Amino acid sequence: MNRPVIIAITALGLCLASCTESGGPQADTFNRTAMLTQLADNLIIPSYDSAATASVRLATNCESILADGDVSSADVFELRREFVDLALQWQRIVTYNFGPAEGDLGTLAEDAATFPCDTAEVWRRIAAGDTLLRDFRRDTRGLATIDYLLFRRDPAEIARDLSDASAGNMRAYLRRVINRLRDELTSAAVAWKQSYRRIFIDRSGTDAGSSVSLLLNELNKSFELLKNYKLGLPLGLRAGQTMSEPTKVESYYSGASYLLLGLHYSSIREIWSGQLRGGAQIPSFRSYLLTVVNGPRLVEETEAQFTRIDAAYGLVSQSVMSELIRSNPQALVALHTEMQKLTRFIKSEMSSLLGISITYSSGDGD
Amino acid sequence: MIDRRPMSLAPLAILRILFGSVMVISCVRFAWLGWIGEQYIDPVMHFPYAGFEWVESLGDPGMYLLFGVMTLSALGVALGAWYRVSSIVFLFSFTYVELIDKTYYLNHYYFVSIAAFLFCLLPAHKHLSIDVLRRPQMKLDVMPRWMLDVFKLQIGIVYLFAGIAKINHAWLMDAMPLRIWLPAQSDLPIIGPLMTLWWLPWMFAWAGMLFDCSVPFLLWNKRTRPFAYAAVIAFHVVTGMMFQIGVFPLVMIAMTLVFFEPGASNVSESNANRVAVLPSPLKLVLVVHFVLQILLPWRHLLYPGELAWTEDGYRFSWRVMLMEKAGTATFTIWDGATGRGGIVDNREFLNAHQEKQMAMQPDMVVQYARFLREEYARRGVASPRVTADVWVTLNGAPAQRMVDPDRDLASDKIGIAPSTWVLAR
Repeated sequence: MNRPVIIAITALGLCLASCTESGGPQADTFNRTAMLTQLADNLIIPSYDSAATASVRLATNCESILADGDVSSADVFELRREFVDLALQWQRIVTYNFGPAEGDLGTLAEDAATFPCDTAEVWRRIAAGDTLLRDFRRDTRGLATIDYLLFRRDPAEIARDLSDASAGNMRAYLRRVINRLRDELTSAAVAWKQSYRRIFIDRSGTDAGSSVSLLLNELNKSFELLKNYKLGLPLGLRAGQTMSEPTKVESYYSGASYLLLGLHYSSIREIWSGQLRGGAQIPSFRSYLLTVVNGPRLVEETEAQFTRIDAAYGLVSQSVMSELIRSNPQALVALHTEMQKLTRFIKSEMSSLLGISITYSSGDGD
Repeated sequence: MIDRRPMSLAPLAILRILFGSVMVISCVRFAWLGWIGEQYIDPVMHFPYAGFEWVESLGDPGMYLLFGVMTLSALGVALGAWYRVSSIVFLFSFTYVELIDKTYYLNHYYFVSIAAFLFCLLPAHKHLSIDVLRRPQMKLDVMPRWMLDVFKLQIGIVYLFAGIAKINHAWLMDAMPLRIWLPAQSDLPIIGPLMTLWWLPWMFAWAGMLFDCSVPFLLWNKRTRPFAYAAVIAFHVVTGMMFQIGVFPLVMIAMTLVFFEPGASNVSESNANRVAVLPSPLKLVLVVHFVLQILLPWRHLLYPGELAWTEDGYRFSWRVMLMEKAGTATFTIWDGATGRGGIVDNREFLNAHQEKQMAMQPDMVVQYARFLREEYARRGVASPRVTADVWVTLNGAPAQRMVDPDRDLASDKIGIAPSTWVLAR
């Protein structure tokens, strides 16, 4: 076959194609570098900064309160308030569990936010004066352990415990857990600003290992964590569970679980939509989808499901989540169901339409 | 058709060296990337082929040893050293690994197994080899022409069926899935900016189809051969840059060199009496092989339903990069005694690649369901039922349910029977 024939057939194909094509030519091209830059500068780095700042505040206050040996109820209230603030800030970075969040003992999310806390093991370590925290028992440190140590009893009793002359080990353990968290968050925040920002922006492709691929992957992992573990696990909706387990909510002792859950969810939505809390709009997956074939349809469906999740979230009465699971879990189960329905939109359909590779292994049929 | 004219054995030996070398590179690369552990040791479960459930991962250090043996045997093939043993060991070790888990199925791995099989049968080591150095009396200089033609025929089959598979409405008229894949490549050096041209997917679709359908004939024809080979290089380099297809471009570029053979004139009279022969039973094996090669890609016609959804007869048919398919599969385990249902976290059992492949392929969905039934029965769930809500998007269309969400998938069986549990058909 010679060249003119090939050209003629190609031209014929093009002609036929343009006659049958439904969506019209792709007019727009999406600037992934701009998206990554804006995400880094306006969402990720500020969120890391806020979390790091909250951790520094808690750590500094904890040091000064514990230093004078006389802890009051007011001091405990102060520490609790700062802890809840940190736990809230944490929800806004939990999804960025890559790059600077990768440590030698696992990722930041594993190290800082594994729950529930193994209280028996924590007491064993306190009794032994073991404050090393260099192993894979992540349920003896991080937010869940601070939650336990600050909220397990009345503030007055906690204050008395921490003031007790014989409680040196407990004070040391609390201080160590808080300081370690501060160190991890501040070094991740610094790493983002100093070096990783550039790497993140430069990897602007769609192959496995590109920033868009990483972010999409982590967005889905974060959503699974939220749905399966923060909601499904305490509700007893996981395979093999025979009953609900209300104590397995995140931050069980503080009772802030539902608030944290809501913020985790809205931070995922924020990353997807690029609609920042402050009102600013930056390019993100939503605007990216709007530029690809069949993307507008998916955006519409995804937003409709987000709206249904919002409605289901609002229908849950604002009481302590673990008590709600014991007494009246229906609204929470309904929320779980709506979240389940979102998965396919942000997981398979989004990566498929954007042509993003999730793994390094070669794809189907070469 | 069968060309018995004598020709030099050198081209076959050179092809053997090329093939063995690319396989050594491929094995070393696989190990270097950490894929032995990631793909064959770390996963909790694998997806064996129906009838090959006995093929299991050999674990650690077994898999490393197996890859070591495979690499050495590939080297043996390249060097022509202890060739009979090397070529057979390579065929079996390579194929064994491929049979462990079909989520890693690739058409090019299938091609490698076939090429290894052909090399086992042919006397490719009787020239330019260590074996000839060891035992000079075994050296042969001449073979019948068809011994090289079998590789041309095999490569021709690959391209031709890949081309025929592209003759469908989605590929040619909608330019799907290229309309999804090309714009995602806009950051490629030099050609990146072109990738967002609206008409480019149609051009690639038609050019790809025409290339695959015509290149076997253009390579066969002496006049068009250099241009066809240039096109082969261009085609594989471009697709290699765009898609994560590993060593496949290298394999095809190397193996396609087989079409460049010397003319018959260089066979001198003096050694023409020592001609390579193949025993008749092995000839019969070759004939059966090629009959199967020509028939197998059509077997999907025997199944009801839409091939893209059922995938009955999809593999081993040279359907290469044909569709963009992705799914989300949520499995629920139901306790037979209490009726309580619980949702499975797929990441507990599957790596990201396995989950991605499983969530869109009907036979794997059933295999996973059967695994989950065993697993949760072991964990104390009484006579578990396994259902799945599987949403699959094909070529960017809105996702559809692939199976009945109330069906107990663990009671279905995979095999050569149609995948009757597939809803979208």
